[in-house]
Amino acid sequence: MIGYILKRIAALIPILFGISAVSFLLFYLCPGDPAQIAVSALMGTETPPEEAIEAVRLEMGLHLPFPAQYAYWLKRVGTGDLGYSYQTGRSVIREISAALPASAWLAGAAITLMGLIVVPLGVISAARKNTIWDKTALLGSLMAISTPDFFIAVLFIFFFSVSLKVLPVAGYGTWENVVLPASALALSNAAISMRLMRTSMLAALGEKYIVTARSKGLYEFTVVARHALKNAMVPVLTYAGAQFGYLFGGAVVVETIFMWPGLGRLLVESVKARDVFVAQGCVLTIAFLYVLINLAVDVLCAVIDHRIRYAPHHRKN
Amino acid sequence: MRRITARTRFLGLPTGLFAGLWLMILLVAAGVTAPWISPHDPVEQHLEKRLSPPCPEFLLGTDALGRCVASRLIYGIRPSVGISLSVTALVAAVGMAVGMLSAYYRALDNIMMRVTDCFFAFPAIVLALVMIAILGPGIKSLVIALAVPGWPKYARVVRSVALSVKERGFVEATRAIGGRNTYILCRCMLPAVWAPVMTIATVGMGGKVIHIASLGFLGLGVQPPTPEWGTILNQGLPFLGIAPHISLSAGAFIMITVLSFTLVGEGLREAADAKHNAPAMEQLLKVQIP
Repeated sequence: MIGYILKRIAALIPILFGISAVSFLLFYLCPGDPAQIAVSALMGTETPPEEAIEAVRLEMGLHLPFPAQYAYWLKRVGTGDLGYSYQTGRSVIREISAALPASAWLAGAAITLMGLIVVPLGVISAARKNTIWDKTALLGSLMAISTPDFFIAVLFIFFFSVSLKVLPVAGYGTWENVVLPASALALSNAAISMRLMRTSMLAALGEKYIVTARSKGLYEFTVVARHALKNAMVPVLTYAGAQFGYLFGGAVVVETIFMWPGLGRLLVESVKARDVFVAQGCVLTIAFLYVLINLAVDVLCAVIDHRIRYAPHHRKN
Repeated sequence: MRRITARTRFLGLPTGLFAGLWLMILLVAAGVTAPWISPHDPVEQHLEKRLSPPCPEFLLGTDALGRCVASRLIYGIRPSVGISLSVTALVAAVGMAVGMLSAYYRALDNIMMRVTDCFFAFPAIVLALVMIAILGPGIKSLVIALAVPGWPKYARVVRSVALSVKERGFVEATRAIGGRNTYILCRCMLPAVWAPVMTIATVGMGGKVIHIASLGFLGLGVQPPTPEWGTILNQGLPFLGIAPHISLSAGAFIMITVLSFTLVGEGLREAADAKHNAPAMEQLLKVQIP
């Protein structure tokens, strides 16, 4: 088991380097001199003194050639220094760590709700294949795939906040605030997972160990919920892990609608204000979290399904 | 319990594909003929009739500046469908080239797949936002911003299909009789990758429509005064209590458009499935978050 985990971590190193290179390159290509923008914003003038710009340029290593600049930046990132926000003057690390709990709270709530939708619906759909239940679930998932998460959010606000006045429109702090954004995200993300659950459940129900379980005289419920579900969960978990990773930073529009102070909204605000270092920090954090969450999910899957550890390392497609 | 096995069909097509194709044709036709079929000028302001609910004169009411919502939504088909079409054509071409080349030349394979791995770590909308930050808002930067995160998925799917084709007997036979690399790539492998590419491209167009609307919603996409669905939805939000028709009808337009692309994509996939064992929809969608 430890060997498997170590192997997975070793495979991550080039990807983490690639991610950092992409994040660095994207902002290296940004037009404008970051040192000048930073100093003008911090001092509140259009024409900051040349010495101040030069000092910042030296501090950020902007005078170096491209590869050296990347190495210098990487070293700074390694020590947790991602630069400063032009808007607030606070360090990017502080801005991001202030936004992370909110994102984790929302993503966690959304993924939990999603599991509560996906597992029962997917299992029922597979166990009662081609019945009215199955068809209804598939039609529902088709509608959910076609509806953008922010429109589900707007519909929820319209029904629950504006018409029925039972839940707050936006905000952060109490459990009531999380209900609408989390359900909007859960509903729109549940569609594909539910189909995946159905497909992999159908595959599991066709396996020989299911025949064995049935011939032992077990109840159909035990066969489906205990024997088939365990193996059918693996692809769903892998996919849900990727979604969980994406929800941390990819819920930009839903976070903006509900004024949720998470990573996605921080990214949007910084992009709008051209606050380059905050945007770069957000992008880097989002990608790193995605990779780490996927690692955790892979390990979890190996715990559930022991065959994974011994199989030759298949690439995920 | 009743089992539904017989598939309903219209004009020889499965219901879903039939409905999706019709919706798609209707949308494209409405977008092309927008100046003739829309009841009003999309930017003309009728200030005395601001926020009017749907009525015979304004079928979907008016917005906060008294502009006809129905006309704006019909004109909104143009940027949404037009940009998603061009982005999809661009990413499909790049993805197919990368996928086929890395399947064919093993030396390229490892590095290209590592590169796609890195791209998968960034949610599409996040990369698009950053690209807009670099390039500034506008239609050209919108196309690039949506294309950058789009191609790796095509590369992955095309690569896996091309790898299996490469091992087939007829490719070996072609090489044995002296077929050159370009001939094998274009004549033996390209026809095999078309079916999965068409499927992900149609479904992907729906995803692009959502992304265009998302960026428009955030104010970073197609810029006003061009009527765009995401922008219209956002502009209607403050009036959700008194004039919900603005946001709700914009959202409904986005939904119907995406639905039509999804239906056609699924129909194509099922048709391919019936012929040979094409990868299931879930497999194709797995590498992308909508």
